[in-house]
Amino acid sequence: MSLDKLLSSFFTPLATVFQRWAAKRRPKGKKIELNQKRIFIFPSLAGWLYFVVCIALFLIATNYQNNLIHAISFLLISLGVLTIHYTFLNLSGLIVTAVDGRNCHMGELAEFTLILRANNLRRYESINVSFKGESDSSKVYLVEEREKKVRIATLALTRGDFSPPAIKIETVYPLGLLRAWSWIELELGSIIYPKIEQGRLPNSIEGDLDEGRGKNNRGNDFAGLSEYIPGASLRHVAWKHYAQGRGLLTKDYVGQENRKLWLSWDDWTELPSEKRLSVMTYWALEFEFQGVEYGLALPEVVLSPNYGPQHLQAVLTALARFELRGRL
Amino acid sequence: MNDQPLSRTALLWQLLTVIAVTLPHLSHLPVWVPFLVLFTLFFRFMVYSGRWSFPKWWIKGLLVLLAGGSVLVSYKAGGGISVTVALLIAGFGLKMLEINSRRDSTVVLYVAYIVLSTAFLFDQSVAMALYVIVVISIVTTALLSSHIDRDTSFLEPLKRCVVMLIPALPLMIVMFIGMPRLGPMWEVGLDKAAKTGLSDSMSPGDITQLTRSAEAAFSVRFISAPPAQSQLYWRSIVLNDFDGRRWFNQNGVLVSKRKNEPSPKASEKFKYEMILEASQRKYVPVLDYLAKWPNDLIASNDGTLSTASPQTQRNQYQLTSRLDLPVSLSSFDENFSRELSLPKGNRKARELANRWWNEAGSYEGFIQKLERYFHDSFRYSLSPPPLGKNSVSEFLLDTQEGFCGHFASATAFMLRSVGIPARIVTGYQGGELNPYEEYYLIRQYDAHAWVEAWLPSKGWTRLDPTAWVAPERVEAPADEVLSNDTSFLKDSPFAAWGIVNNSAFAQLRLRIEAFNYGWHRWVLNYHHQQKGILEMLLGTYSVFNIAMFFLIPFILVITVTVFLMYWPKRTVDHNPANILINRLSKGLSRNGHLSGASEPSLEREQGETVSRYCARVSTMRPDLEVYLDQVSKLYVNHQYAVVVRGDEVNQLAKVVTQCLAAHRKVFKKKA
Repeated sequence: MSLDKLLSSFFTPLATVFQRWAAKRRPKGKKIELNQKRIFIFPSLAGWLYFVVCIALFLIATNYQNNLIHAISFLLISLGVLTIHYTFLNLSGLIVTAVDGRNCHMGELAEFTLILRANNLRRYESINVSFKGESDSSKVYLVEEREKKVRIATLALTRGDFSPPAIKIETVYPLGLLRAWSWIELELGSIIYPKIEQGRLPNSIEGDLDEGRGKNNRGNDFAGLSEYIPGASLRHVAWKHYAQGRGLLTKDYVGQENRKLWLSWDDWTELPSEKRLSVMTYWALEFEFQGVEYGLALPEVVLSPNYGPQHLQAVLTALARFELRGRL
Repeated sequence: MNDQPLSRTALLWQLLTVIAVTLPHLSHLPVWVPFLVLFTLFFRFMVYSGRWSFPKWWIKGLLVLLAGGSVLVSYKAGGGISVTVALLIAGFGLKMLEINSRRDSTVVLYVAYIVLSTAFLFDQSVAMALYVIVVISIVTTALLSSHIDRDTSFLEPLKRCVVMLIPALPLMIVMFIGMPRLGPMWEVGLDKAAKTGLSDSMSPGDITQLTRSAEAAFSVRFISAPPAQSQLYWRSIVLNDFDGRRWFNQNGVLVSKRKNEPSPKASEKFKYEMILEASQRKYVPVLDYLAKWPNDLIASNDGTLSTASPQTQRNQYQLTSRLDLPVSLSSFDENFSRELSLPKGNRKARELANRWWNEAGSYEGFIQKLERYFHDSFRYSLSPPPLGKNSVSEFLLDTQEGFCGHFASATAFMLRSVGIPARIVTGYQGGELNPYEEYYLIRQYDAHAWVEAWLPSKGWTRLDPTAWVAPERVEAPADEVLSNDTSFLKDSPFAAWGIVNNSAFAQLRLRIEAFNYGWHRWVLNYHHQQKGILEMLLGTYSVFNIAMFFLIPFILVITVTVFLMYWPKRTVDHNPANILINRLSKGLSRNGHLSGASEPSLEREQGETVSRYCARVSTMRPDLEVYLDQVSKLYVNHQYAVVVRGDEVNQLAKVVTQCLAAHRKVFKKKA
């Protein structure tokens, strides 16, 4: 135990220093080309085993004075040496470009899109792209095509503006004997919204929504159909018409515009701030889903009632950045 | 090492590997092992095609125990390497049952490399070497295909694998030539094979067994000019004791060691290189008389040479012989009690000997009488009539028909009866000179027996009674003399058919043998040539030279390989869209020039933007406008659009090809 501690107390700072040094050296940018400076290569476990096989063959050959087994052992060794270059060439010459990231909620997988492009006519096989610390990777090959989109994801653990960890691009092709890899830091970013947690209705509008709902249900003041505008709630799409092939139409209701709800920071005083944000997120999504107009009132940000994807995004972004901005 | 399920192609290659690797071992595996492998392959195939599911763990466990136990039972005697091979094959056969991921398959393929190599412990022919090269590419293909993520055709991994293996071959050759070979590090046992060649004792009939075999015993290459065919007596074993029928050595082989002779006095010396086949026996045949030998061999005072332990594999030796008897062999320190003793019986033969001795009065006279008697009334035959109790008397006086064993035995008996020390020497006589490689091949049917008599004036003197009877036997190769005899090569009719001379087949056979000899000398026994070769290649033998010997070819081959793989990058622009535009420009200009020098060039000018270039060409060639418009649009999209759709390049490639095709058509019409 004590030895463990001693070792870790000795090695942890070293590891940290190394991590910092490695992070500093990592290439950064929107577009990064993999080349000698950026590619590392080292035998994999299978590669060491292969080496053991070569040695075993050499010993068999020596002990039985068998020159043909010697020849096989030499052939395998030569192949192993050449594979260093084959593996390296399967990574070098790739250009990785950052495309975009998809916003998501805390605890979900934050997905990012890259483009892998070959700057030559070689074939690339079995390339794994993943974020640091993620075991799941995306597999890419470039055989006929010269570029491909790749989506990779990492677990979103912090709220707010998110720049993903370093990306590892790795390959063991062709024989699995060597692993070539490269760490890059692409300029990618997304916003991590707060977690979604169900909670009680805002104080100020308790009953109000019920009323609204009631009215909606009771009156059902259907006012007619209008053309679908991208961003409108899918709840009001006239699916029957769509199925009949008459295009996307939205059902309009009377009274909808009159409902204006507020999500206010001060409404959930009993909840801790993080939880409060989660509940507010829940209601923002819920209101959007219901097609009700809603506003946001945070200590520093106030967004007037509205609805639609852009509004939702603004609301969620404000919620995501809340505490962080407060600290600044 | 990511653990991923195998693709179908990878799995098929895996199955093929197991079959290909097991095949060369069929001859020495217990019968059930190939069946086990077949069964597991079938099982795996059924799983692959979705009809069966993977077996439960306890079924697998039971199979492993069963297979392991059965292998050990199959080889009760402890068969050395074949047990190991059988275990490995049974093991990876069973492993097939559960192969599903890359990790499992890697283990199987590594074992396959080893099992494949052990095939060379049983067979080192050229054919086997070619087969192994093919199988190595199969195993490597299986390894490669297990690392391809996408679905490929069955043959695609093989093609890529061959391309990868080709640069490894020159490197292998360099290592083969240069890597030092160490001596065996520990004792290893090969399987016990049947003994071949001469046995430790000789009854008159024994040699006939050997005359039926065309198997190679050894081959010899003389460094200087070879001695005459009739001088090629290859001494193997000296037999001193006689029980009335059989010659043998009472207390095993008498080993009184001889020292390596330093004196280079002998007038005629023959240095030669011998490749001796594995005989499972200890003797090394030597040209009479041995003068110099490697220090790890044991030379005895009777002129024979032997190894410390039975020869389980082919060996190569450098020896020197001389034709006259060396001093160290001519001295004697005994009273010849063994060389004179005779058992009771054969009264008539003794009487005859004593009568001659009285008539002749001298050693030489007696021997002459014997020689004349044999020459006048005996016949050489490989199928003599059987002999009874007094074999020597019967042979000398009644049947008078036989071959070397009979003649030697009778002669030694006669000499001993009159007090001349005599012993039997068995070995080989002659050999066939291969004109293509200039070496002698000595086969089992060249086996021979002769007599040595102690004459006070000369020491041990060789007497070959067979030569008295049939002088052609020692002057011409055995096959020429013996081929008329029906017993010759009775057991190997094919060999007999090929060995009969004066035909195109004989020429072909000699060529094949010469090739095989080269294979043995330069590949299988390369470690004996290595020093000479390296000295020839390097001049002096220094660390620097050896390092260069490896480094230069390695760097050269790797550079060329990488360069060839890298070449596509060097010849093109970094951007695939630009490559296509360049191709378009080149294609349009080439034929444009041919159509007439007066026309302005369709080539893209320096610094001209792609859209402007497309517009310019469109005005000159309205027929291509459709394509050029698309080219321009796609190019701009690809280069400058914020959202890349990903397939612009592919579309661009298509349009460029169409455009060039249309252009060519027009050009052809003009022409």
